[in-house]
Amino acid sequence: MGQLAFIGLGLGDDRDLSLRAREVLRRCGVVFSETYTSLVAPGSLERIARELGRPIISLTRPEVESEGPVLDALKRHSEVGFLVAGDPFAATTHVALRLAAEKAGHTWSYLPNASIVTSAPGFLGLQQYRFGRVVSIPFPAPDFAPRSPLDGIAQNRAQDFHTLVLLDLRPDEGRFLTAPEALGILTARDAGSSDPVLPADLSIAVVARVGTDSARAWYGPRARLAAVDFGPPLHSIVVPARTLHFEEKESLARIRLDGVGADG
Amino acid sequence: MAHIRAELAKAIPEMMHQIHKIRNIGIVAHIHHGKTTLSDNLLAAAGMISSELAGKQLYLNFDEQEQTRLLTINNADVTIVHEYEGEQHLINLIDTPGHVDFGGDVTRAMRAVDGAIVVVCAVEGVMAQTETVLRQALREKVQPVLFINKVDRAIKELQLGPEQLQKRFLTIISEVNELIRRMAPDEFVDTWSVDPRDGSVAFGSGYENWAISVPYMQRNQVTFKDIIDYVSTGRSKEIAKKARINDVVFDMVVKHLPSPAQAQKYRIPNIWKGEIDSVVGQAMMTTARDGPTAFMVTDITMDPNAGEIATGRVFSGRLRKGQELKIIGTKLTNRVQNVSLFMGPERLLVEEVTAGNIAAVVGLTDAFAGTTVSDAVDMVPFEEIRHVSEPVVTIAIEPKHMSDLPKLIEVMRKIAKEDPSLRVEINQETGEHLLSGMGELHLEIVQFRILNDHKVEIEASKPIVVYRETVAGPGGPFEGKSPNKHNKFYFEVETLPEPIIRAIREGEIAQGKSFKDLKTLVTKMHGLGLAREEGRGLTAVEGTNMLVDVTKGIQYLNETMDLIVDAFKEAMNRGPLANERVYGLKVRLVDAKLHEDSIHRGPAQTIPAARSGMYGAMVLAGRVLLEPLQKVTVNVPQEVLANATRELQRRRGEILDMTSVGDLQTVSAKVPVAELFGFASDIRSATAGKVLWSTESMGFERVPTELQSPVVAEIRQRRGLKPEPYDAAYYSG
Repeated sequence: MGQLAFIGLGLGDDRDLSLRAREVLRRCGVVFSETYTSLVAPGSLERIARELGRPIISLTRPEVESEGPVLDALKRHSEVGFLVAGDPFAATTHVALRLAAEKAGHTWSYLPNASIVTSAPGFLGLQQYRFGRVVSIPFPAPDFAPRSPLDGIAQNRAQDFHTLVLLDLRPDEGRFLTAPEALGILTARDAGSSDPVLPADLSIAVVARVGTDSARAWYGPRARLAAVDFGPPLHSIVVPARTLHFEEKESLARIRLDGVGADG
Repeated sequence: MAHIRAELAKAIPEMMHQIHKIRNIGIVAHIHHGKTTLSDNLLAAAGMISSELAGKQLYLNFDEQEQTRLLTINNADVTIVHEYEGEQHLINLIDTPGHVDFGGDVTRAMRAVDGAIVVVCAVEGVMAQTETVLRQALREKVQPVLFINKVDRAIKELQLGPEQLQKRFLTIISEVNELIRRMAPDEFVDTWSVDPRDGSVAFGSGYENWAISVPYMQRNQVTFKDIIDYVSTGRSKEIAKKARINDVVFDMVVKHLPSPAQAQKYRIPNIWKGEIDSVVGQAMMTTARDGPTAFMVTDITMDPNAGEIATGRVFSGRLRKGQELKIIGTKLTNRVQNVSLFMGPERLLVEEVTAGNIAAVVGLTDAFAGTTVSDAVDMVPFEEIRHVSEPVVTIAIEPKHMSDLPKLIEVMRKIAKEDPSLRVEINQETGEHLLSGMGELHLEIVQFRILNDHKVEIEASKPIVVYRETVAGPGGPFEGKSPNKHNKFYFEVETLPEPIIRAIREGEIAQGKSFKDLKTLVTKMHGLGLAREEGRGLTAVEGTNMLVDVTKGIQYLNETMDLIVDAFKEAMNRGPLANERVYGLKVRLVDAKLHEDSIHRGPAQTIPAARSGMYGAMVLAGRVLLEPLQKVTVNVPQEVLANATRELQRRRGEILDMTSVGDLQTVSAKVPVAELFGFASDIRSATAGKVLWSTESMGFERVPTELQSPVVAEIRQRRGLKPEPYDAAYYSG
């Protein structure tokens, strides 16, 4: 029986992979990566593979979801690595794979790394303790226009919580939902309401490329942010609570609408 | 002839405004009961074509294909002026096909007309399709009169005396009246039966060009014996001079069938579900030519010069050249290029066609048969024209020269537009282009048209039977999991009660996922055998299948439901056994477990999960293959009866009925469509050509158990699937 090592790659590049994670990877008989749920900085996996002296096998969504390739490898090797952008059990969760491995009699280990769920609040200077449930905005699709993300923001605001809004992405297809697109979807679903969840003048924050060298943040009225070019992916949105702690207030006040000031 | 036409051209535009003097009628009959010959001679007598040509030329069968086969395929329409009691009347006559393969056309024609001449052959009497066409007419609230045709043959071949002849007529009349009583709209059950004494029944010979009615006989002191004498001594021409077929038949039409002004009052609420008190509703109820334009297209034909011609009924307002009209149900606007009345293959261009008339329009390029066209943007469309029978045979076609492919696709789209009883599937990926129709003959004719009218050389596969899938008993709950394992849906399936299936087929329960006045519908469906809990959970209807949601209070299920409906549609159009359409299935969603985050339960997760759940439940319920059956009715002389019966029996045919009239034997049998290929030539050679036969759809029945596996394997292999269908474990993966 083998051990499946769930290893987070963090938000930056190969330099964010911890020494302990590198040690585990060297022991692994085979190393897989999953690159369809989040973006891995270009060249990172290639550099890790070179360092390990062996290829990293990139799995597609059906391959991961079928569990076949990973479970087969666990039968043949005492340790198998599974590399995931960000953290393996945060925004995207691979708990289903972990349960399947356990049910098949294998063990697992966990090498956490930075996740957008903690890094976006941290970057903005907002307190983790004051966040309500995370919501996400899917790409528009036929017959699928969920209102629950907007309802989630409304419920968090009603309870005076911040909301982290994650945006859909399909790195394998080169598609990333941008913050202006997501704001467009949210406000369209809000339209016509007498008590909109996201009024035009509500100040909200957008973060881009958090955890990388080009990380930036913006804070300002929703309507004005909708017209900003936030640069390359990934983008996330934070809708602050109705009231702010004085430290939160000061942190946000230092972030300007043009995105300067928060990257220091 | 040219002279008469010119006069008509002058008179008609004026007459179409005299709404009480218009009759819109169709002629309907069982195949070979002589409808087209009757139509031709009516026209000849009315001066529309020369009398030498009538009966020989089959004028209304102007499609080359129709003439060589002596069948009427498309409706051909004509406008006639007829004088009744000193007043000129305008009769718009629509000819309809008699062969059941073209049943779709009859249904559509009935929407355009208010009255129908039901033609019954005096020799054969009331036949299966007499009932079918009468049902189609009565359902549209089209009033019938009866014409008993081929009386000459009854006299000459059956050698019936005056009393026997009279008795024979009375039998036919009482059978027709029995059908009318059974199928007429409630308010007309008592008044729409036909009665020889008041002249709503006529007798005659379309071929010999004469007709009589009881009032005519009384007026002119003619007896049945006189008629028999004339006919049996070869002096039919003398009666034809006295009792002109057009006089008797058109008198009957004018006297007994309603004008558009009368008919629209009761027909509009039947065919249009909008607000009767609205402007357009009132305009149609009163046949107002100054109201909003409301036009329903009932037929599309291709004219080599004019292009697409949309024929249909103007229920209110007017159609005129240059008018901009909305194609209701789309955002499109079309411009009317010209309007005309039909005169057989020719069209008479007119300034305008007004309320109550049948018009032919060029320019409505986005319309198809069944489309509502109006100048009021928000007009509620007319009720769909329902086809009682579904396609049962498919062929795959491809162009002989690959360079013709784009043209072939265009032609197939056009043909589908002209003939709604035809189903066209164009698959760009596999390059497989499928045509499904009502029978082998129907598809042969379509192929001929592609080659002859549209000049595309094609190669066609052998005809393939269209099967259906259902289940043997209840099955489930079965758990369908999303690929990411975060979502689960639980389904149960069983067959729907037969009355519910019928209500869906008749359009009383709508297709799709929005249902008007659900509360009333729940009660109605309860009466038809569907539990109230399920009725309240009615979510979607696809084909003859129903999705009901019986879960309670599951969070986020509402924003996932449209995707479940997508999965349902997909599963019902491609069953788990052989990818055939599913028939009469009730799918119950009994539970669901959903991920909190919306991205984790998007289309790529929910659709496969729900689909597997439905398929798995069907596996547990026992998958069953259904095959289409047809009632084949064969008329042969006694001497070849055994051969004909053998021909039916060796095709898994089950003899239903055998009757005889004189030497003529009638055998009807229930035969699987799968066994009917090549029947036309086999029965002809088995009976030395002395045969008349017809077919009628009898729905779908279970394929015999011992045949199911091999048939399924054959279908699956043809579709490039592995021969055995998947098991339940496959769908729970």
